[in-house]
Amino acid sequence: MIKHEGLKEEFKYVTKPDEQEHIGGLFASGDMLMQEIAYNLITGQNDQVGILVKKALDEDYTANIVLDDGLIAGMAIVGVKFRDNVIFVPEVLISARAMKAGMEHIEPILSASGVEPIGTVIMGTVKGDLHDIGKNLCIMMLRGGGFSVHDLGVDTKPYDFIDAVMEHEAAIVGMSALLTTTMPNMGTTIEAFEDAGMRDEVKIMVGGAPVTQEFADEMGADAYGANAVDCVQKAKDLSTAK
Amino acid sequence: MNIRPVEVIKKYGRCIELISMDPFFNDITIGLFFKEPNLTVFSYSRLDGTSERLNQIRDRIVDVSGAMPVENSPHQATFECGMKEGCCSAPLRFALKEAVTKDRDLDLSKGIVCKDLRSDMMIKVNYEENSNGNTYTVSGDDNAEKPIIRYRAIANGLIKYGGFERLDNFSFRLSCNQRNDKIVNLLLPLARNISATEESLAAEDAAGQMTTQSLGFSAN
Amino acid sequence: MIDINLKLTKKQRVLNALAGKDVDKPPVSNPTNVATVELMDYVDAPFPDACRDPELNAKLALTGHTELGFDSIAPYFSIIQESSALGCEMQWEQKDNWPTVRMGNPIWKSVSDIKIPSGFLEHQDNVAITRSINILKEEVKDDVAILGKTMGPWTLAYHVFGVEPFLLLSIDDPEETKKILRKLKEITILFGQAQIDSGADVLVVPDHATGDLVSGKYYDDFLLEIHQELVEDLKVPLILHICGRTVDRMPSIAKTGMAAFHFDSKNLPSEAMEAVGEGIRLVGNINNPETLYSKGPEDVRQEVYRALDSGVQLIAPECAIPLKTKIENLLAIPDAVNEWVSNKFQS
Repeated sequence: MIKHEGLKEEFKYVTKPDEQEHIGGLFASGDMLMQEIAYNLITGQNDQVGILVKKALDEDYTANIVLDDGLIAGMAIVGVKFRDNVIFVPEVLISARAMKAGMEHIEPILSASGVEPIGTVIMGTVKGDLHDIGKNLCIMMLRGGGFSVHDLGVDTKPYDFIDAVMEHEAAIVGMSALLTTTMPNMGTTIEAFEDAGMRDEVKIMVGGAPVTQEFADEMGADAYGANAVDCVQKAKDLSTAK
Repeated sequence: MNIRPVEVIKKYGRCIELISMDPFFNDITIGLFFKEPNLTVFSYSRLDGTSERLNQIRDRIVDVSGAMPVENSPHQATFECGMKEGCCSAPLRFALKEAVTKDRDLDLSKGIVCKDLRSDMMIKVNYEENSNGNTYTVSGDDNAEKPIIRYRAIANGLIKYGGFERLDNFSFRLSCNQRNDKIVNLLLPLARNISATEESLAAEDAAGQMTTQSLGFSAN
Repeated sequence: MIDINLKLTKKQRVLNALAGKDVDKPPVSNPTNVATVELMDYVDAPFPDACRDPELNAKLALTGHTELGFDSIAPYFSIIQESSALGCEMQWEQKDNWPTVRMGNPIWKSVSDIKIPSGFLEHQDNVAITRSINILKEEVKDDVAILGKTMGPWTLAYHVFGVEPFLLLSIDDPEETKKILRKLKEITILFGQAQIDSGADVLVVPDHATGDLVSGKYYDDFLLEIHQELVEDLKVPLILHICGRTVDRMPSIAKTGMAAFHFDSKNLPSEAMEAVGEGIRLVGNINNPETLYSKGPEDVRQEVYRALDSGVQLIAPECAIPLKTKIENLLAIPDAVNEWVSNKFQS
């Protein structure tokens, strides 16, 4: 349950019952420190998020708890507010930066834990598309989630994805598109994997504002990530499926 | 000065397909105009050799689409049906693209066949004249788990891109009921993977559009 | 008001409409590009050369009047001339695509970096426009309206600072952001005035504070005042251009004192007219990707009618047209306006 006053106000922007249930569930533990982190992330207080995450880790919260119940839970509300035009791109950017400030403390722990990466993911925004905000957020979350990620940046040609898969022996490819006009290039890339005889070697997940589950199915993608949180979940599902 | 755009439209009709840069001839634009019953390959370019290039493209269109050259008019063609109300014009965007940007033989000596992309099958389109008229039917060597699904999908693709008339799940004919193996053969490789064809069409359409998105001034 | 008995030149028609005065018919006047790849072949002036060479630029721009029959000429085809002159990294592309600024490698980081290079106005890419306006003025005299274009400070900021760093700064340090915009405004004025001196009758000011990126409140906080100042500084009618969804900020735009607002098809003509009231004229808003690019003259005609029936004063495509637009669809715009006037006033 949500106890933090500021967070309570933020949660009012979540109006769809299924989202209330899902996002509300992320705060179910009722931990005040985690809610403080989420609230500061939503409001883009990157210094504060850094301090609070460090404090939590010092107080023996596990890195995974801070990630899931603090940072990712906060980001879920940011996603809803953005979609519903409550906030616009600058506000999302500062939340993403706050996320990064928290991740700086979490990432070393996850990578030092000696745990082998869950898997290797190649990420890129598709050809013709220069947007990388959403993709970068996914990368940060994937790394936080225990994946080794290679970022191909924006405007990525189909064969760049293929080359990267070979070079890094990656099992998962994540493609992002923010434009309805470049979205079809996801399909072109999948086709290129087929032509190269490598379609069976990789799992392909897609995402980005205009992309839908139907579109992902039509293109023959293996998974669709509705947002950065979902992206991590889908990557985990794909790794276990393999 | 060249013939003015307004006169071009009056003389040759609507531009039904436009290629912005001819990779084999000085990046000129190539338009395919239609005014019943004739198609005209046209360019506003005044570079030397343009007329010969348009002639060559017209001949290639005839080759790949089964159209007939218009006598004594080296840039024009039509179909046997006379193209009434635009009949047979649906697949022309593919015919023009093939004629302008590719330089290859579309072999029909083994019939209308093509390797499937989603299975190991060879796909075949058979022609026969039966009670439905000049009928084309999609089949293959059944070398896949559910071959029927693939045959149906490919027939759907052919009907979509050719503007053909559906007879059943696997069969169709041209709206004018003419026989035209060449156009079916041209479309078969495109029909075996509709999503990829759609994507490449959409990507072509996206080029040269200016929006907040293409400018990079938008996040959605 | 429309008075079909008036005898107006194309230029008078545009200027009257922008001033809210009577016209014989609504002008067709696109504040952004109307060149197509076919028109480039027609006058042998392809991109990107036509964006960089004044003679080619003028030849291509003139076709908007001579071949398409529009009431104005817009020689600035893209949005990159000043940014190129400022030193931004450019991607010049080819005939069938737009030159763009590589915003991923911005040239400046803070307000103190902003320096207008000496010889800014003499840079090839700025001269391409100012000299082209000279040539066009010579050609059309006072018969056709010549629309210059100078980028507003918000768009310039995207180009020189990068979209993401600039938007982050807008939250981190609104005061610094305002200082930046004031400083960049000098560039808007400098290049705008140069075009006026060359003979531009009207200036278009694209300033992409679009609803696709920022809130309506941003427009009030950062730009309204600056846009009002531009009206004071640049003594020709100004047309503000912002693509995307903008209806939430149109009431503020109507307070700028600009002559007109060029709006996108993401906003319905009727809701846009209601949002701006009497404050500003509207130019627009024929849809590009769906209608002008993909459909036919009859669909274009219907959209022109919809805009005119809603009271939109100047008719134009919503933004720079797709370079592969078929000419018959562009010819359909003035035809539809003539038909609408004739149906309404001569029957």
